[in-house]
Amino acid sequence: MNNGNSQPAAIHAENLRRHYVMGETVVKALDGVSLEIRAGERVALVGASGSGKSTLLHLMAGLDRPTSGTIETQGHNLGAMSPLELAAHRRSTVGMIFQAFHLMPRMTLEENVELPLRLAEMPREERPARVREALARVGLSARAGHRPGELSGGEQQRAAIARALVNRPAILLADEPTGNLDSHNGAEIIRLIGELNSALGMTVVLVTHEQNLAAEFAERMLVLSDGRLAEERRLAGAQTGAAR
Amino acid sequence: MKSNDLIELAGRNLRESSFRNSLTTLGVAVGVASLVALLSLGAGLQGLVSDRFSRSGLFNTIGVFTARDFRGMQERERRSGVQGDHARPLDAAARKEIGALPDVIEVYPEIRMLTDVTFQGRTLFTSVSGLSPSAKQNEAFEKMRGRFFSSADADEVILHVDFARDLLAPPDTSGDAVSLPVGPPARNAPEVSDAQLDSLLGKEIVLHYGERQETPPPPGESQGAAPTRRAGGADPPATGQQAAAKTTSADGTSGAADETVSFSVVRREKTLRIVGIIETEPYAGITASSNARVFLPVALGEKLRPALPSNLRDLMQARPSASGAAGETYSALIVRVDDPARVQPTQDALKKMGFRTFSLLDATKSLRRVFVIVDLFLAIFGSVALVVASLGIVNTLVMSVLERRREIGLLKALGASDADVKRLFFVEAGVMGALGGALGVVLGWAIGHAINFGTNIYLTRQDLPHETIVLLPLWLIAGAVAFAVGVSLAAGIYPAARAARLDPVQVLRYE
Repeated sequence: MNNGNSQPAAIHAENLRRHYVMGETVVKALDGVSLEIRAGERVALVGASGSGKSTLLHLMAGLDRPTSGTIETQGHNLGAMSPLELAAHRRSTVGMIFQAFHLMPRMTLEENVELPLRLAEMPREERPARVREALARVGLSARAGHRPGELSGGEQQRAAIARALVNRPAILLADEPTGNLDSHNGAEIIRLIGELNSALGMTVVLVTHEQNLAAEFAERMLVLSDGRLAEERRLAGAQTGAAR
Repeated sequence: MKSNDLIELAGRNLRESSFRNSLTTLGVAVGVASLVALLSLGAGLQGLVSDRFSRSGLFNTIGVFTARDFRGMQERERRSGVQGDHARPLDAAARKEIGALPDVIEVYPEIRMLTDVTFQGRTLFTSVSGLSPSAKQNEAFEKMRGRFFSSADADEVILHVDFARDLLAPPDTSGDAVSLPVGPPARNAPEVSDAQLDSLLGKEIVLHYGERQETPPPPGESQGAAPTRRAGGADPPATGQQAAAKTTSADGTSGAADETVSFSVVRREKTLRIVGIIETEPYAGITASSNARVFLPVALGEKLRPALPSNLRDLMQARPSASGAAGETYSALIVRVDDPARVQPTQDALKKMGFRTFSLLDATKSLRRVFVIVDLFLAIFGSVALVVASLGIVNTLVMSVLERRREIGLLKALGASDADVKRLFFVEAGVMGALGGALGVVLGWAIGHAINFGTNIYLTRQDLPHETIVLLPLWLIAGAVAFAVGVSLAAGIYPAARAARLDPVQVLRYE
């Protein structure tokens, strides 16, 4: 449950399985994964398409429930939580960014970033400062009043990162955040996530199929194959990890 | 999510598909408008009828009688322990006590007599009745010829138009006195012109009646002798006749403390001026004015002290009816309360005082029941359109769920609970219902006014007075909007549940 320190692991999974029944076929998206991620650690989940990395990320986010095994964040068993508790977990413990950004197209950036604060029922008067702070961290203060359609892909993903940060979660879960970006913008986003990890101390789990990118960013790389943890690599020369 | 955030998000969502949502809202508005128009028509007709009845005075009037007057109730009296012979008399003290009851605005005796009336040398036999000042509110006096009584005890009469026609008819040569049907209107009443009827106003008639005068008991009769009938002589200025009775104990035998009551009936004449002619019967009391043809102020009627049939009945029942010592009793008192709703409590109070009562409260209840049924049917027909409109809401919201799958999935990924998602769709449905309801009330009001306008054009062509047949009471406005919101929320149940069931993993992966 913990790695020798009194502080519980940020994420702990034990013999985690997620099977989907599709007619008579059972698809084993995850099949007995055990892992532990320390608080503040930068971890990359890599693997081919269908290897189970996104499924594992969704289980960490509390968007899905395991078929068997346990998954815990900060010592709390997500499998035992009620739907309301899982919703609270998604609001307060984790922040998510997606490959497709998933910004509300008719909302301005600041309205998009404010959305998690609305869900968390933060008092209205406290929200603007938090939104400004989050947008400043990703360098989009000047674009606060713009709609997503008026921004480049990289800017949209930075806005999505600001939205994920605004509730100050302990864990940032990034699902292929560079998948829709060119290499330059992709590198910028990875650098930004690394900086946030260093500045805020949040645990970051990055799902990617680009092993080079993972190697640049992460302290540790977990390779998934056919729903199993095939390999675990410790990485020394992470790009933004030099500050740590 | 807090309510104000939910409303804000819902409003934003509704604005994003403004054309489709406006059409859906308009559908709700049309449904509510049909409901409001039909129910306001029902309320208007109900108001019209209630107003007529209210102004007739029938529904805030109670007839009060002494308990012994109801022979059919003797068995019940015995069971309840109220013996008629011991029933409380309806005398001046009772009248005063009844007048002091809360909600009672008027108490007056029932005065009705069958007597002769002389007009320009012709004598007609008819029914005369007393009218209270409050009867002026009655619809019968709205379009009368002439006017109402100038004061509560003026020497004036108002005639029913049938009697007025009889007064103007050529004299019957078969005899001196003309006997006329007293009750139902004369169907073969002679034709007279309006000018002839108007010519009666200001003219005088002479009312013949017997005045009741208390007389002291004849010597010796107070000692238990049998009641005597004393033939009256030609007492100037009129002929008098005295009747006397002694009181008897409950078992019917003469008691030791016998008291003889007696009165004389003295023939009198009273000249009265015709001030008005009415077309319809006023029904100012429960029984008093029914089928009467000549009306005089009730206070004048009391002053004249006419011998009424009830006096003779009292005499025969050995009640101190006309005894000055025991005080005057009335055959019936008419009690008016300020509000028809206060009739029942006042009736209860009167019963506690030991009197029998009669009112048309039961008839009012039946009438209300009829209107409730009519309103129910109108509401059902009106609701059909709203139910159809609610299907539009279901359709719009289901479409919205399909279009906003990604948004719903994202909200859930960001921490929205299933309940938050449901509430968001409920608020959207409720906002459409509230807006549609408000717009529908305005439309319904406009339709109602158009119906009213058209009806009054028709009434004008038929030479009838204008009426308000459409009413939009506050309860209907509030009820219609609340109903629209309720139906819309019900329509939102399925789409909201469908939205809440969306799996964010699937949605975010494939959208």
